[in-house]
Amino acid sequence: MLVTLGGKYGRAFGVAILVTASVLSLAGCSNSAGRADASGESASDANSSSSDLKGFAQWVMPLDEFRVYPMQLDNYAEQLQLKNCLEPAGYQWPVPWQDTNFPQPEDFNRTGYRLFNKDIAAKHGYHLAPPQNEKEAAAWVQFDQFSQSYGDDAAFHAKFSSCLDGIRSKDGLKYMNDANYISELGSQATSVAKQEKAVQSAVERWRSCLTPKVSFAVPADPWAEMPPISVGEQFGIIGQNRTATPTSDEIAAAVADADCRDSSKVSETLYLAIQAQQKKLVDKNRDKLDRIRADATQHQKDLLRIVAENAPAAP
Amino acid sequence: MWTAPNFVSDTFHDPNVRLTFQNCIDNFGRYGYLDNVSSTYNNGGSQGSFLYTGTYQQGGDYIGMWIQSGYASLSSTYNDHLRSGYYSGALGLVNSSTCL
Repeated sequence: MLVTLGGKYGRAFGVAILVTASVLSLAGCSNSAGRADASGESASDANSSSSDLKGFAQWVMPLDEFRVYPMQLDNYAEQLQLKNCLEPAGYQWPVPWQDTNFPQPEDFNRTGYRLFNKDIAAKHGYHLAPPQNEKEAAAWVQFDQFSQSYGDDAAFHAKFSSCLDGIRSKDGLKYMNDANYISELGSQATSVAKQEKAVQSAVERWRSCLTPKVSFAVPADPWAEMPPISVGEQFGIIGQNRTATPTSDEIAAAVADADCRDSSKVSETLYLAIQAQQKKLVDKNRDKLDRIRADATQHQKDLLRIVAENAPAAP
Repeated sequence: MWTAPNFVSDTFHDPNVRLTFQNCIDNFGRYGYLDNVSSTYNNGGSQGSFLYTGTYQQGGDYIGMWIQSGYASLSSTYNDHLRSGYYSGALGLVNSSTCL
């Protein structure tokens, strides 16, 4: 696996994600969500209803209903089709079994959002929770290593490209682009939400709470920068000296972090702000999102049929 | 991944100046690419890849790429806002010594 340019396969799909630029103009206009006070604060607990927070623990969002299936299903079906195309030509392509429910570790929700709370912090610190099926994960790592064993074999890569072209000839990258369109809307909502005064105030409360409790400089963004690089190295979650389990120091820092997120309501405030922005985006882009969902629902059936007809037996 | 659109670097528009990875990178900042990616391509053959707006798969928002596909020009919300990257097999991997 390698993220790089065209290279050995010599093809580049340059596709620009659609930008709903008008959404960016919503920055700082949270009052229109109906949860703002006169000071410009919004999404506070005082103005939020229990129904707004119903999905908070799992970070359920309005755009989720349009994410019909995970992108990994596209890859699994495609890999099985590649196997059918490559193996008659004499190339092994041992695609492992994969659970099409794609169960997530306990620190991710069903859409791939990484969760962080006191329970997770106490068990895993900042480390990732183990995969639901470690054997399956290991099999895919092994398969990936095998897939690279063809190296620079030009005949193999020519066949591989030919096979992939045939598989994608009908729809191209449509479903990938559709999924990324939804992600794009989600990202826009997050960007706007993070600019809200209520969120920024909550972030400052979080930083003020956490700073005296940890030995490192607390970053500006609790959702995108924790822990900082040097601390991540110290805790063994990044760098050359990774560890499988957290130390007591790491757990202490993570629990303090989670406590401060609770007391400052920073996550809750961001959740409500993103939720409000996503609702606006769903309303604004309803027709396209409905079309994407309908297409994806049908496509999911096709993908599951391909898997059912071609997948190896479950171990 | 490249720092400018169309699969080239900001400096000299060189396609060979790029950040590449296998399995995963938990923090682009270690390589000078934090919030600095403008185009990206999955050149792998077996797994989709996912690029996140936060380090360590955080941030909530990510762009996914099938094998042999990419984006020559990331949208405004992802352009210069990506911080970690994973192939699907490395998602959720614990103690992956193969991460950069």
